[in-house]
Amino acid sequence: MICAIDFGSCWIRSVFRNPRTPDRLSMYAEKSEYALIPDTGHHRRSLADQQIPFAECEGSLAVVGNNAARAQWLSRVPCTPLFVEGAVPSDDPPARQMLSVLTEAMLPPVDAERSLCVLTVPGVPDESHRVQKNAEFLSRLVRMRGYSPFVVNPAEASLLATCHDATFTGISIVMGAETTSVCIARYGVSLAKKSISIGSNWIDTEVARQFQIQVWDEDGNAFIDMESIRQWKQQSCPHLRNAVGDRERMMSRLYSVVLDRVTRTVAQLLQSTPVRNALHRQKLAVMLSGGATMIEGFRSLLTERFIEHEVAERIQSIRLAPDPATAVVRGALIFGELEARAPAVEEAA
Amino acid sequence: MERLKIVLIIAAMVATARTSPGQQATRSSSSNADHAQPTFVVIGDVRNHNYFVLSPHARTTIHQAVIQAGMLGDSVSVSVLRGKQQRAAFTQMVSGASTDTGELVMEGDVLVVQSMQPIQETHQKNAALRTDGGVVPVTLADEFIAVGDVLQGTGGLPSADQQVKIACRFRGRPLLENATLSDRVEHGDVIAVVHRAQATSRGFGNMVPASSEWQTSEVTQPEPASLNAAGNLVPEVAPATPLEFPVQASDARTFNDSRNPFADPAEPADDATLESHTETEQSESELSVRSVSQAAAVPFAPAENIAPPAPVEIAVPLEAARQAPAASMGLWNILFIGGLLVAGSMILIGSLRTEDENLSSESSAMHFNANSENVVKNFAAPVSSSIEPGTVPAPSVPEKKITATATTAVVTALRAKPLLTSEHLPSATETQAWFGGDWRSTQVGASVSSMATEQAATCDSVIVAAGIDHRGQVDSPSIYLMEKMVVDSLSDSKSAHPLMMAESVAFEHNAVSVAPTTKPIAAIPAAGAVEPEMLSSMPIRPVVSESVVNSAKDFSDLEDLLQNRLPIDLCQVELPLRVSLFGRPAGPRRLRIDAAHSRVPAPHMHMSSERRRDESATVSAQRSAFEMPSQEEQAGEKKSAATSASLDRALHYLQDRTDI
Repeated sequence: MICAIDFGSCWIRSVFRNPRTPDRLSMYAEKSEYALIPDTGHHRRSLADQQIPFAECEGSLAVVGNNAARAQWLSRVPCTPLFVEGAVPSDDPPARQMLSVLTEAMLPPVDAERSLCVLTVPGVPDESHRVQKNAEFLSRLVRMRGYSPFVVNPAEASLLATCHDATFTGISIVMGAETTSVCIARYGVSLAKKSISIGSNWIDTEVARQFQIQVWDEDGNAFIDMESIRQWKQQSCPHLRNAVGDRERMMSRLYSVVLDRVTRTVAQLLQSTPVRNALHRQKLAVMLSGGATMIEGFRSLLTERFIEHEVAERIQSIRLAPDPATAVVRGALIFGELEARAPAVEEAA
Repeated sequence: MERLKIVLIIAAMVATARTSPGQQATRSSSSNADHAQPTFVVIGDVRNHNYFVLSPHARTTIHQAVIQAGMLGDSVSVSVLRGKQQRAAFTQMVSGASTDTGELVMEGDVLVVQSMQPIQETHQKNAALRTDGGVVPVTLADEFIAVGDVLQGTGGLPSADQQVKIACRFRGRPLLENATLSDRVEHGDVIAVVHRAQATSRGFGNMVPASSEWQTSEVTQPEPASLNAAGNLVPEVAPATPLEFPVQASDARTFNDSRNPFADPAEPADDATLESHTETEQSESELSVRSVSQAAAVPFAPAENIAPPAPVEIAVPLEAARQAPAASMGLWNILFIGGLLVAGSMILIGSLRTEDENLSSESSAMHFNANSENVVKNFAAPVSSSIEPGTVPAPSVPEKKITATATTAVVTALRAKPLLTSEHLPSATETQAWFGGDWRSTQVGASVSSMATEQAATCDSVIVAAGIDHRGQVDSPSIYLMEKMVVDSLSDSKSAHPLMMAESVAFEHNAVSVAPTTKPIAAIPAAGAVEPEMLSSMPIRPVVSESVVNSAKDFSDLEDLLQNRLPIDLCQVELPLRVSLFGRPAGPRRLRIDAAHSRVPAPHMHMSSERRRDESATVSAQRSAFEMPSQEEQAGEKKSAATSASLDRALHYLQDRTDI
């Protein structure tokens, strides 16, 4: 069994081939958040009546994943992310246990002696102790399910999933909720990659702060209402190049700030020695994926940034992946299938 | 006589040594090569798989080349095999609407075009054979074409130090680093004949002392018409006609269709005809896109589907491709052979002086080995009676006895030789069937497996080297063994050792069993092991193992996954309805902490201004350590602290705590 799981700061997705229907992919997608519900008899009864799975914690009930939205109305506290700033929380033991429950439920049972699970780890994959603990923790969760974990970079995975028509050569940019990953590859071989710790959550947070989009609980505690920002983006479909209203203009400016950093990163990678040696002055296609890239006008704004940073001459095209949200997990599955075939290919060779 | 024998052996080996297909294809004059234009080859999903000439004045891009070849489908993937590289250098997507990336086609490139959509239009399956001498496009006229068929159809087997591999295939198909002759050639495959990595013992210059060649025994093949006469198909003994040594001199017959057993016998290609041909016509007959059909190796199959009309335009490029190594072959070969002949003649003259002594010693040896007289007939051919392969009597020594007496290498060699009698030797037809038809009969017969010993290996070496008839030419059994050595070494790189006697016998019996026979074969110990379908007259297909099929299917599934063609079923996660977790959840991050006003604070007008400032600083320190304030948040905090309301709340909070 080969499967892939993408631990994202906003969504956790897993995908695999169902042995009964190998010509189709089965996917699980759960929001990486949980809702805290007061632990009272009424709340327990309400959850039980609606068949909403919940967890009992100290002093409260927790509803994890997609069910959190169904139980949100029972609490005035907004949902809590399972990954705080793109990392497994160190001060939230229930969150770590919920990650374990979700991982166990989203990975299919192992049917072979050596099953491979390719996973992506949120956060910036630097050498810091925190990120290493992230990868170690999530790999252990996968290993507990019986799989051999294999950590891949989201941008590399997305490249495999989206750049087949460009012979797996180009620039892959994955803009997630907390992290943006950039990878330059030639024929599927990564030449240079970098991740920056900025994503759509930072933009939403700044908009919410600027416009004081907050919620209060019964104790008077204020929280940023991120869910409200997400719903507004989905419903009003703001355009980054044709912003209407202060909020959209604010968002456009914030996106520009993020894309400035992304463009600087791309320019830096293009100047790196492996890229210069392998690609020379070859024009590259840019493939965008990740939930944050789905907003209208993203490509146009990125083009503008490329022109401003004098990178446009190296860019052949900027394309949005046909499935921006699921490209990473699908690419991770491709990674796994290639990895599983590698011994057979080597043996045949 | 021993010295004479050695010289003749060496001369025979050198004369028998044929060059590889690429080297074979280089016998034409070198002048044409100098004027040859650079070319490249396009195969795969194109309407015209062929050579294309690179214009020296205009640069041709891959996009233009594929469009020129007439790609099938809207979007194709082009894999480029360049230079001496053994794998595709890169792959490029090309469609009618796509922009030209400017990637140029280089001389000698092989462009393998694969359509990304299912092709509705009927097209001819094709492949390419890539050798040191150039690239030969091949039309696959049948579904089941093996590598051996392609090599056969394009000139012959490679030498022993060469290796066959599938260098490039369509996506999803595994490359074959060490392809066997039985491997099936798929549409779009590029078969490469390369030199093995390890150093081989070479002759002089670039001459490779190859031990055999594919069509060696086909020089004296009966007319192809008899092959098609199924009812009259008789496994013939190797003909007694002396085998023509493939002299290195430029002989047009080397590439003539007369060498091709599948060619139409009604149209013999004599020299006069060849001379009367124009250059273009020569190109048609020699340098066309080769069409290979395994049906040619099957008795019932017609021969007309083997050689389709070849495009004229490709003649010059292929000629040029075949001429490359020619210059390096001729001079050294002539010098070497001439030297051998001189040395042989001198030794012959010297040896004639002591002929009587030698004859007496030979007679005593023959008397001593009376039971192995058949071997001696071959081994001491110059002094024994004329024995041709077709007239060698059946072995008088039983097989058991051979095994029992195989104590020393020399004796074993002498006793093992009679196994290769005329009855056991495959005829030309059988050889053809074995090479061109069934590639599976490589199993050793059970009854002779015990003979596969080191001694047998040793005696095989002797037999191969001593396979010279009374005319000083290589006899058919030795040719057959040489061929099998090459085939065996190609089929399994690990078994590159000389062919073992037991294996050769098993090969022999299986080969005999392939073709319908009317002659009773005296001893076929492995008859029970022969598969039933091998006895039938149906076309024999190479067996494709189940793992290979599964592997191909897996890779096609991967291709679907890569192209996002697989539908996704979004499933619902089944979480446990109730689970107990330990620990206190952190909850969402709070923006700021404002304690609830539990009671109305006492009047605070009596507070001094200094105390207010101290308390304000204390409130700032009370923030949650969990919350790392950003600059904006700090600015906002200062702003809010500046307001009287927030200051009042903070003061009230501190007042409450102080009161408690």
